[in-house]
Amino acid sequence: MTYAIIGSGNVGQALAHRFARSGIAVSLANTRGPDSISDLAMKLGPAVTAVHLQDALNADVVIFAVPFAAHAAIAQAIGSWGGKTVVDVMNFREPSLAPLGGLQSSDFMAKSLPGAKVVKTFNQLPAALLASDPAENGGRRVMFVAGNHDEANSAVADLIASLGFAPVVLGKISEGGSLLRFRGPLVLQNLIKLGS
Amino acid sequence: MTYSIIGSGNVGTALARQFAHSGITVGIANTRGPDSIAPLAKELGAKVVPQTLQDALKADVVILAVPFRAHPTVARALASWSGKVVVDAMNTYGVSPEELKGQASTDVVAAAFPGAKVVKTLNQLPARLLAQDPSVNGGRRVMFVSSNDANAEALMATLVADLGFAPIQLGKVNEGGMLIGMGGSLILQNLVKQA
Repeated sequence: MTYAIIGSGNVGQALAHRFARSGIAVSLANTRGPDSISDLAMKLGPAVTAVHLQDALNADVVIFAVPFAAHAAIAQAIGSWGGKTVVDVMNFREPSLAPLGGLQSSDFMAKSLPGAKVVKTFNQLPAALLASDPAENGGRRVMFVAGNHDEANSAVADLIASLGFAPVVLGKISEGGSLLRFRGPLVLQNLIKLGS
Repeated sequence: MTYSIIGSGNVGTALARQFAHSGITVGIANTRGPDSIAPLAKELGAKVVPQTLQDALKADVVILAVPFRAHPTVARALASWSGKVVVDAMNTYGVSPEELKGQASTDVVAAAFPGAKVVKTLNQLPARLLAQDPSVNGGRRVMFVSSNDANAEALMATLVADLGFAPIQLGKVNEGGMLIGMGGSLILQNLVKQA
């Protein structure tokens, strides 16, 4: 399984930091080219490689850590999304879903990624918390996961566990996933899962 | 606002313990009568008041901590539930989806308590965890709350906070509430919300 993060802002950097700490190889790309992130990749260590957007899109799992408005352009950058898992880390920061035809933002973006299995996660914590060690007080920081494809949910949940978080799968986007919408009840909650 | 717990099993006892620790007065009743609860009340102190079932049902907020199949009997014990908040702290262990006619269990409960505002919460932790101090490592144990009535949901979130938990409101029963139904992904999760 190969991974790429698209976006080198606060959230993309926070995720790259967690991959680096967990020793999981990841490509990092933005629209400005690898030179703009080579210093960052160098600082994060050998697990993180700055690449061109086109190369990043070859990964099995492509993590969208860009502003929501930027997703459509990235979607058009490759011919086919068939078989890929796309992780939606974006937030649609409007109070109403009317501009999306009433769809949750992940279901809306999925329409521009035909064949991709879209999983929503990593969107729910502020970047500083996302970057910090998920092991705390003998437990693990919770990361909620939602998506319409059970196998992709499980694969991403495994990745999340490998990154040190406690994944909690909420089911489909239109069901549990709606709790991860902008300002939804499970967003911006710093939760530590302890053993029971 | 007056509160009562119906049921003195593991869950009812755990809840009574939290009310006592938080200094919030609560009635507690079962079908066997107040004498059967006197030893528990004595242990927990003056805030926990053993009552007859009839007296307990006079409370503004009635917390159902009985086995799921016992809720219709409680419902029939009062002529009108109008204006009351009923907290569904039950789980449907051993109850088949057919028995629920495919509905969410809290909706089945709501149908049995016409006029009541039904809120699902306090159901999602094992009794042992429910009874423990919700203050953990400087944070608070999470308690999810769901209801089709937004006002009642907010009211019970306040109660849950007064009991020391960190409430998270999930919204309607057939939306976020499904996650704290039987087999839901937010059931039996020992989560602590950090400050």
